Amino acid sequence: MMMLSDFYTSNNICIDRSKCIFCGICAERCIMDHIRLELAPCRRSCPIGQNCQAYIQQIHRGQSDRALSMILETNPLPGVLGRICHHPCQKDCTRHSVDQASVAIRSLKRFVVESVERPVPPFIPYAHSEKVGIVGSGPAGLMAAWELRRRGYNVTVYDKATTPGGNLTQVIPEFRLPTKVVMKDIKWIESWGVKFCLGYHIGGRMEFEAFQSRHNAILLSSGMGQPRRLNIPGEEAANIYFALPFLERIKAGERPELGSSVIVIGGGNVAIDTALTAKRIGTPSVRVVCLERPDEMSAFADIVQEALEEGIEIVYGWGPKIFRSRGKRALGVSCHLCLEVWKDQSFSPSFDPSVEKIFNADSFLIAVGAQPDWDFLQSMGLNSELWPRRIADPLTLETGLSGVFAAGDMATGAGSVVEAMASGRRAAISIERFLQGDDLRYGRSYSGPYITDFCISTEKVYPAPKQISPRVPPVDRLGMQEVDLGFNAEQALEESRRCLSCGAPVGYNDCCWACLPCEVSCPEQALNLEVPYLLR
Amino acid sequence: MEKKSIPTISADILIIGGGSAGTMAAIRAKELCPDCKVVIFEKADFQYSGTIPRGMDALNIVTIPGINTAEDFVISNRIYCDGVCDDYTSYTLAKRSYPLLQKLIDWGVCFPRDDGQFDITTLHPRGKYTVSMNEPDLKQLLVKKVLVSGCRVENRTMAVGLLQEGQAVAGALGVHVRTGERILCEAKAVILSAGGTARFGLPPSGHLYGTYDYPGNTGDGYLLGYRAGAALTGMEFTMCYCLLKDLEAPGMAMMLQKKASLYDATGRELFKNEFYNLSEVNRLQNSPTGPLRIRLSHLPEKGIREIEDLLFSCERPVVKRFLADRGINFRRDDLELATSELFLCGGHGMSGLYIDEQGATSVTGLYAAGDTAPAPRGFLSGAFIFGEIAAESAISFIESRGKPRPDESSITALTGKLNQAQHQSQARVSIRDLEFKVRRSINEYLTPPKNEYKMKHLLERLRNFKKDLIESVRIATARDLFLSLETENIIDSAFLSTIASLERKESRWGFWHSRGDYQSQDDQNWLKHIDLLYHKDREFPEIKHRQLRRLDEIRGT
Repeated sequence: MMMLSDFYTSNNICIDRSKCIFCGICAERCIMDHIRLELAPCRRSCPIGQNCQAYIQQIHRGQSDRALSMILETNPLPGVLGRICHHPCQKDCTRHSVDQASVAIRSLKRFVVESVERPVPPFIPYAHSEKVGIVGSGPAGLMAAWELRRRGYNVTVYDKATTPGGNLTQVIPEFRLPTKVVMKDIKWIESWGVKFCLGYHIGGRMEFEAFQSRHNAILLSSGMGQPRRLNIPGEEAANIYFALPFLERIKAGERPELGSSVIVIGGGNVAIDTALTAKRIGTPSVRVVCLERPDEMSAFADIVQEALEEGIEIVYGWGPKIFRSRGKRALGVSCHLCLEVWKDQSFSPSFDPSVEKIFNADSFLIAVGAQPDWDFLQSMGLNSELWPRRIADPLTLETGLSGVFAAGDMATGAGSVVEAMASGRRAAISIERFLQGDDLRYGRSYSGPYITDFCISTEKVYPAPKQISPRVPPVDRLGMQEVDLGFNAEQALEESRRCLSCGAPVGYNDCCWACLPCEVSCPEQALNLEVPYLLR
Repeated sequence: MEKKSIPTISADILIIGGGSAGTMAAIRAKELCPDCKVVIFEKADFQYSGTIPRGMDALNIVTIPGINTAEDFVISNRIYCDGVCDDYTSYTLAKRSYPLLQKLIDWGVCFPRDDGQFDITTLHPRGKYTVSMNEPDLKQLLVKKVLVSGCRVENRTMAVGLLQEGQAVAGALGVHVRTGERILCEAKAVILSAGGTARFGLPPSGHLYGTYDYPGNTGDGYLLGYRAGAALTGMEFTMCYCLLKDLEAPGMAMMLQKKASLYDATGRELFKNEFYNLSEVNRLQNSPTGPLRIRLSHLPEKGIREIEDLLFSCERPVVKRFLADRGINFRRDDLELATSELFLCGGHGMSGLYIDEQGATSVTGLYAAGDTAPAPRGFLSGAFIFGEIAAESAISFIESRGKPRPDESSITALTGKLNQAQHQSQARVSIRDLEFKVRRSINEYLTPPKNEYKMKHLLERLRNFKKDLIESVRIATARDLFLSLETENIIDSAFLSTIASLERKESRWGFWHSRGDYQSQDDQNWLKHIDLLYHKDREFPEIKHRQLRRLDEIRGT
């Protein structure tokens, strides 16, 4: 990591870290390309480039309102992400190496969103005459809509459901992500001038072609609406349900009768949330059966913990082979021992057929993934056989059809909400370039004047325990209420103090002319240039 | 989905270099043709790039009605250039200089006035043309106009070479200086406004970027035009200025105009009430009675304040900090001067692409302005005026030009050059070290007084440096590639400057082209321009002597 230049370069850029907001404008404006921004690990790992370091420091400085504005610069769904983001930032947080717990970045985001009133968006005129149509109002579509609208385009988001949000409102359980929170974010996006056309269904190719002719560019971001099947005998039984439609029905207010025992098959977040949902609607016995060992589960550790707290049993290491049925009802699922789930980083489970176990229950819920609506894709004229890798170019998200782009799960395969949003932004930039007749590829893989390979010293850092936000005790968890109640102001302040503020601008390339645009362009007057030592 | 091999954009006019001349050219092009597509390749960031990131303290050439005429200026410039100048471009510049001033005032640029009168000082031998300006945000003002008019700026994009379509230019190949990504711009006309070679000799401080003028100017404009067949002229006009020691900030001339005094090391006052000859100062600086210093302590507080305000707000506001670091107070201490590194410039000097009074180079479709193309010695006025003129000519030219179709061969030649550099990641010499050595050698062998022995030796050194660039220099990152392209242009600038210097067998322009082996000025043989023309596959340029163009009706010495 140490480079020869580390010994020969004098850094003449002095940063007041109590004022800097790590925006990197100095590095962009420097005409000699002397300055680089050492990028905090949290920010580096965020797919949508949230400046976590800045908003955490702003909380620390008692500037929560500025923290919200900082979040909103790159994130129009802060309420959503403050609840359910899979927080890759926390995984890379330097704090972890000091006291084995990262800064609770997601919780801090939630705190800011809940404690500060959201600013009214500025008026953005329709600078361009072109119309963009976005099919699917999930996170990818919402992000793309916002990005294009604020660049002056006329944007309409279409969805076949009567409520926008895709999985955010239709599927994810209320105790995980309250609809109220999602709608607040969506309403804010709408207030930028994004139009919504709900209950709109594109039936087939002819309808799609008509739809195409009414728009100058289209984004397909309709997600993966179809559940994946196990494809094992007996799967058609009447008491076997699929997680996604089940969760949709719950969200819509239904309370399906599951009997007194349920088995959920699957090891991801959806499986655990499905199990929790089954428990919360009153099913006495809920078990999760999954291929994975405890440390292999893709479900978040805190969600798994929640499930265990609420009395859900998780049975690790079994792969379903056949449903034992009587008539139209399944009685149990017969499984083989799973030896290994991942091979060379790809999903490739192997089993020992000589070891068998049968799990019995009144109902079964299958939560092993999702896939897009093949028929829908084919009717558009897209080749779905190569999905997901080839439906859209990974760099530009163009599909094979001119002016048609794809984003989110349907373009990239299963991903998290924030990854879908990153995909939405990528598509929006491509659409803008397409409409302006620009090359779609130039400069796309360049993220900015950042240094990611630098030393972060933890020498003088003292351990400070992580703040735990209040949670509803398991016995009191009724119906669909949230468990995590979020930080209060004092906790948020304490937690923000744990941030090491790892990144900062630095004079890196030893080519300073001392011309001062860096100082002048700093919005916080946090940068002071020293005359380069050789000249001083 | 078909993947294009190189991202390509199209333009009506491509402007290479978004500094003083480039921005004016862009604004003017859009004034004349709002629907034309204008693209700017800017290798830095457009907001502050070029020579005027924080403004400039004066517009050096304005013929104010009632004070001086354009004819006066032509006469003065002949003296200022020791006879070797083009009356036509001088006259055009002078004629448009007052309308330019008025245009800038309309745009909101501040020219301080006292009782309605401009603050006019003397820089020239005959007449007063220098109007004080106090506009630290000059560049930003121009940038806003460029962006509002709908020009497209490609930042961090350096032009590697011009595309040809037969004998005409048809655009350029650019490279992103941070990522190494290529981009092609197909254009009907190209304006080169990429500055001179300010990063030429090595500053005495040793800091590669501690130059007097904008270190981003590495002769790109010169070499892009030259390699496309445009004539380079005046490359023997190697100049240096006597400036604030170590920081090399400008302002000395301004101070002397405001009644500061200049002393040599013996305490003798120089240029008292005389025309302050910028070239002569260097000779005195380097003579046995040097070094020189500027004194302001005799001035009244108001006068010192005025100088400080102008010095600390415009051009190089870091001077204030520098002086504070050194504990220098004008009221008490003298300012040490030192000779800067050598540089080539079309605005201060007369090195660069030959242009006629319409801003056209000798290549079809190719125009140039600013430090890239001498007006000559047109300073900021020349950059602005010829930026506009280049745009006017380019707009007129493109009316009859169809869609450009660059020759495949010119694209492959340029991409080949970049690709070859990609194979040098294991080489052992850093590009920084090569640049240091090149620039040190320029100082050692080309600093006046010049002589044939030193200059021939320099040619040999430069040949070796070019070889090192291809064989020994490590190019592992996009930044290395970028620096290597700049260094190549510096080497080539030096090569051409040396050849022109060898050719001019006389001394002229005072210190700047003084030769130990030809010590007198020889008007009989050398009152002419020396032009250099590129021939493919030949190491040396063709050398042409070009007659001066005189406006005979303007009489006077």
